[in-house]
Amino acid sequence: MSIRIPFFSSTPASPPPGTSTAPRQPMAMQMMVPMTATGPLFATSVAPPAPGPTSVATQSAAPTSGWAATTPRQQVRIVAEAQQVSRVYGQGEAAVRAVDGISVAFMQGELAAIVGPSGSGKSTLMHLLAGLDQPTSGATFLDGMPLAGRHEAELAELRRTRMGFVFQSFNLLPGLTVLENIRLPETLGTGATTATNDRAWEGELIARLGLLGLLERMPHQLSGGQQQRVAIVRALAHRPAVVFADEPTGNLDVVSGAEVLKVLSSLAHDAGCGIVIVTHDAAAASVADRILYVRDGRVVQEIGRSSAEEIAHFLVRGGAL
Amino acid sequence: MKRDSGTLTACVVIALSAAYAIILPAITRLMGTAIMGSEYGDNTSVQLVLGMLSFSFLILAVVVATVVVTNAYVLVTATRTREIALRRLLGSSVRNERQRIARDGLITGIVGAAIGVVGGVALSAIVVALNNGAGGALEGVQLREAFNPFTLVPVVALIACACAAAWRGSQGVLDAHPIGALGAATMREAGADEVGTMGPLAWLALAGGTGLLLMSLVLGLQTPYALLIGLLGGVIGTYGFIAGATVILPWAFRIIDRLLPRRGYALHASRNMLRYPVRTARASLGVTISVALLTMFVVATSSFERAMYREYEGVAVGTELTRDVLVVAAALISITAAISVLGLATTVNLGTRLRAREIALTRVLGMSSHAASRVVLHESARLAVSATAVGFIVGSILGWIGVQATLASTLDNSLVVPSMPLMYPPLLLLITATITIIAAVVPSRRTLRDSPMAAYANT
Repeated sequence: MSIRIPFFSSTPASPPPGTSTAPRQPMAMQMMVPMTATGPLFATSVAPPAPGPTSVATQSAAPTSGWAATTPRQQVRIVAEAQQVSRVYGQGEAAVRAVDGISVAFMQGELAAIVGPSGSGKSTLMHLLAGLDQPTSGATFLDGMPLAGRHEAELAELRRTRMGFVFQSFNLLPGLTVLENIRLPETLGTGATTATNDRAWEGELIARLGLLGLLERMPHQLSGGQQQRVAIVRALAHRPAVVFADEPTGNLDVVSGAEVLKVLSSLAHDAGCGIVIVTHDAAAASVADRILYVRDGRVVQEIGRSSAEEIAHFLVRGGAL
Repeated sequence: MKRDSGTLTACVVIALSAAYAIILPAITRLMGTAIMGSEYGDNTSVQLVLGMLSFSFLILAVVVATVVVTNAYVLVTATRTREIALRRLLGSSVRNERQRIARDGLITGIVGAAIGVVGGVALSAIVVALNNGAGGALEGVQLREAFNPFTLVPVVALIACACAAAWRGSQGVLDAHPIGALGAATMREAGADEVGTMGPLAWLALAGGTGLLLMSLVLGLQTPYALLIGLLGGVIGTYGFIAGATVILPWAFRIIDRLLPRRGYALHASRNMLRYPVRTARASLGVTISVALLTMFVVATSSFERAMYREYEGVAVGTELTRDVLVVAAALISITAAISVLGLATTVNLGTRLRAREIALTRVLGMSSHAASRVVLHESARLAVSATAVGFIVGSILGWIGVQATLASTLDNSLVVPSMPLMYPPLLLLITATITIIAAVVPSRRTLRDSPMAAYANT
């Protein structure tokens, strides 16, 4: 079973102004924990001192190890990571830095939320972490494997075997039944690269999410909340390293949204993967063990588990505590 | 209205049919004139048969063209659902929107017909010139003899059909609910799981046609004139088949689907094909009919030759004649076949565009772009194989019935063994593969173009 780490300090983020505009930088190895491409997939981290909003410096140039070494160190597997990642759209005057030198790592068993206003770069960050977009500079890693320099087909294989996705809407193929949608990743590749759902785990998820009687239904016969739950089962059933959920409650009413969040938070620790929620909804972020506030392409603040009220307050103040 | 591949297809289809509508009667009339002047000059029955044959093929081409144009407009409307929903939200009426599309159909019809008429006249002139030069059957015939005021009747009918097809195809406007423009509600896709309808007249025609065909088999034991009853049955049955295609073809395709692989990529192809039964039926009807007709002639001529060969103990009888019949039939079918393939390709193309977001989702979830284009190829192959298979079976049966009805009374054992040239099935397979590639090339290239996330977000 996974090790529960309520939250983990993110690595120091942006380099000083000026360095970030430099062309593709080599992997910033001076930073944080020794996990990355070559080493074993374990990073050293520490348990949090106490729940509640905790400020961690994320803008300082020097590496920080998070909390003082007052608690025993634990071995934690990093499932998704960005190192000094930037994504620039356009060129010259019109260039937009959607993501500006972010370094962040997500752990196994952790439910993390990336929050921020529209256009802050939070979705772009998710796309970079998932290999759906290529960074202009910096490096991204999935479960310790670098994503850079991989062929499109390899990235696709990683997505169907090592990642799961839940989107705001349109998660399911309308022509397939619920069960076929859950097993969709199995039909996306051939031969040795086929993703296979862990049948026992898949059955457990279906039962836990109350989908047992709905397996032969078509997506349009389900409510929005049910559709999201099917998407969650699909995202988890092949035991991925990390699940990316982009506004998973954005299209749901308050009650269904709360249900979906409850499911996500209870599963993060049982599923043995990391779950990263991208949202601008305080309620959605309140189930997370760790909340990263992104603004103008940078992680400007990071807090531990907080109530929806605290997060709403935090969001209104633009990430200031 | 913006031009896109759907209206372009409609325009090309109308142009082809219009050219066909000019050339076919022209050549028939010229041949008639030539025959009049020849040693068979008093043989009016030859002219009558020629005229009837050309008339039936012309009607068939117009019907197939109308079906293809209807499907093109169904798809054009479906690709514009959001745009139409927005206009309806802002106050445009359904009637308004449908009239826009029908008007587009009218203009497309007129432009296509004009191109077709010019092309048709030019081609007729070339045929006459070539024939005169080579001393062929049309020797000494003047081109202007081929045309009279009635020449334009089928062309005008085509324009009317295009307009009607656009109006019928624009029914999707009804599904573009204004609320859809708000983006909140997940709209049911237009045409998904739409069930085809088959009127009582279509049932009657199909049953009557089948009955007459069976009757021709029985009467064929007594007289070769049973063929005439068989022909009548074939024509009536074909009408029933076309009118009930949206019921008959999906039913046949579901059976064929069970025989084809349904795992992995093929699962997607299978579901996508059966998901829009009406659209799929319209897309494949033309190909099915073309293949059925071709197969009918091939089986009929081959079985006829075989039976004659047996009967006359190894002496080949009538091979010249059967060969000529086959060549003329293939030429007559070719235009209808071309229109059909165009229609099928457009359906796969626009159908793929309509599912752009679904395809993007599968790619985000881990399907490589190469695999995604393979799925499109699978889908196009499934459609082509199903359409061809139904045509092959129906055509084989009809061809055999024709020969059986004609020859049974003259044969010793009263039974014609159906046969076809050994080369025909591989040839048909080659044709199917060609249709598959033609239909898949444009859409599969498009699936490779965008990054999956951009495609997922943009559509």
